[in-house]
Amino acid sequence: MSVEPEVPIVQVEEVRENPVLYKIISSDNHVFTISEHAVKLSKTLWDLITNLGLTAENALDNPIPVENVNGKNMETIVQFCERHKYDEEEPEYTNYIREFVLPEWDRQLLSIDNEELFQLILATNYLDIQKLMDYCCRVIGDMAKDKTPEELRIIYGIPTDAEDDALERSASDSPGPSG
Amino acid sequence: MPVETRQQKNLGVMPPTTPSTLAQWSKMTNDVRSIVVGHLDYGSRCNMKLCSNNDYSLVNMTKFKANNIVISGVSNRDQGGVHIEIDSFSIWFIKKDNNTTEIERGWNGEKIERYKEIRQEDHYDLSRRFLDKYHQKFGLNATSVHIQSVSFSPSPNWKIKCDNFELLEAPLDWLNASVSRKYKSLVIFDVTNPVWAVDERMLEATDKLSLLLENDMTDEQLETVKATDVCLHSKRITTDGLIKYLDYFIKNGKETDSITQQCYLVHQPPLNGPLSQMT
Repeated sequence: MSVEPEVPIVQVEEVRENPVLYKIISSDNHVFTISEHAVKLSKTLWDLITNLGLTAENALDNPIPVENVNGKNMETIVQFCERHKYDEEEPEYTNYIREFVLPEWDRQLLSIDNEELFQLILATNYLDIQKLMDYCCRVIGDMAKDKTPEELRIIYGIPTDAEDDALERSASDSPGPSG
Repeated sequence: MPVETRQQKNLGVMPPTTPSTLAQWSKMTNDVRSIVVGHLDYGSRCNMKLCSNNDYSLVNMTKFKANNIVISGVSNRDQGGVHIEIDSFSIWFIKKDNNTTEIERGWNGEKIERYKEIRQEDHYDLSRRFLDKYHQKFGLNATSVHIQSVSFSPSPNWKIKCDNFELLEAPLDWLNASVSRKYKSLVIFDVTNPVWAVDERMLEATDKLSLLLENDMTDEQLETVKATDVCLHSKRITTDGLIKYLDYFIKNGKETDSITQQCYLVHQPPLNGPLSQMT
């Protein structure tokens, strides 16, 4: 299936200034177009583009398949990257990451249900987009405010110790490569 | 007994996680979970530690910086003591008869009865030990630190680090325990030290500077003040010095700053004489 094109609107000025565009295909075959500046926010995608030797001439003829990310998440990711492509580079991650204010535009973009947000985090982690990861984790962290441990376990889907043990047991019982 | 240990006793009665959500947290790598934990406030961290043994370890491994730390004296009609707030978590050390202390804990300023305990020890010693342990674990490191109405000085090894510092009715030693060189906001009011001088850190505060106790600030120092939200009380500032500062204020003041809120002049003739008060 090819849905052409579920892409953010690329402003004419931006195209003129930065004409290099890349095509990305999600796991469910949705096709997205993304500018060079935006795609650089994803370390995984930019490494891939560099390794594949894609250039301004052949970029659109060689769509990049991303099998771990579905169309819905990819749409959010492309929107985010286009929005933040000219942001200043992030300072080195220090683990003291609570000191930023989540912009309203991003808060609205991330106003999705918990299940979708967790899926988006997994996709963001795979594509290695630090800023989006920080923003998603801030939204997830905000959910924890004034919640009891019982409520946290339900919201985040945190397994109990017994469930953790059961998961580990089932993982060790399953046949390995030689089994 | 710490709150966490007490609460952990309740773990046995937790309902099992629903299968539909079970996968989410488990699917995340430890790195991702650490970032989420890095966004939790102090209370949420404590609760997260109680979710499972894995999360207890995860939270302990993740650094923490509070948004807000408040250390304040309690002095009601019938009780005295120390109240410490770290984000939404609160702990009170209330002085009782016969050198005993009642310790209460709670969230969002509300005491929780089941965490109350009595210790046969001085309330200052207990509160200091609590802060010692906290300092050892995380450092007295927060976006904002407020010290209010406390009569004791900080321990010599404490190093306070913050962007916004407020010292109200407390020894100036607390400011000296701060290792921050540049504040966004610095408020000092009614310190117990009779003599104190304006120093570089006060002049370097970027947004707000309130020195509500009479001080020795001069025109030359006022000229180097960075903040545009100021409240000062110095007899050494002259009209000329003030006019220069007002010029700076007009050029650099934010839209939200109001000059009527920044400067209140008690005019003392002759015109070039010292201004007795500028607030």
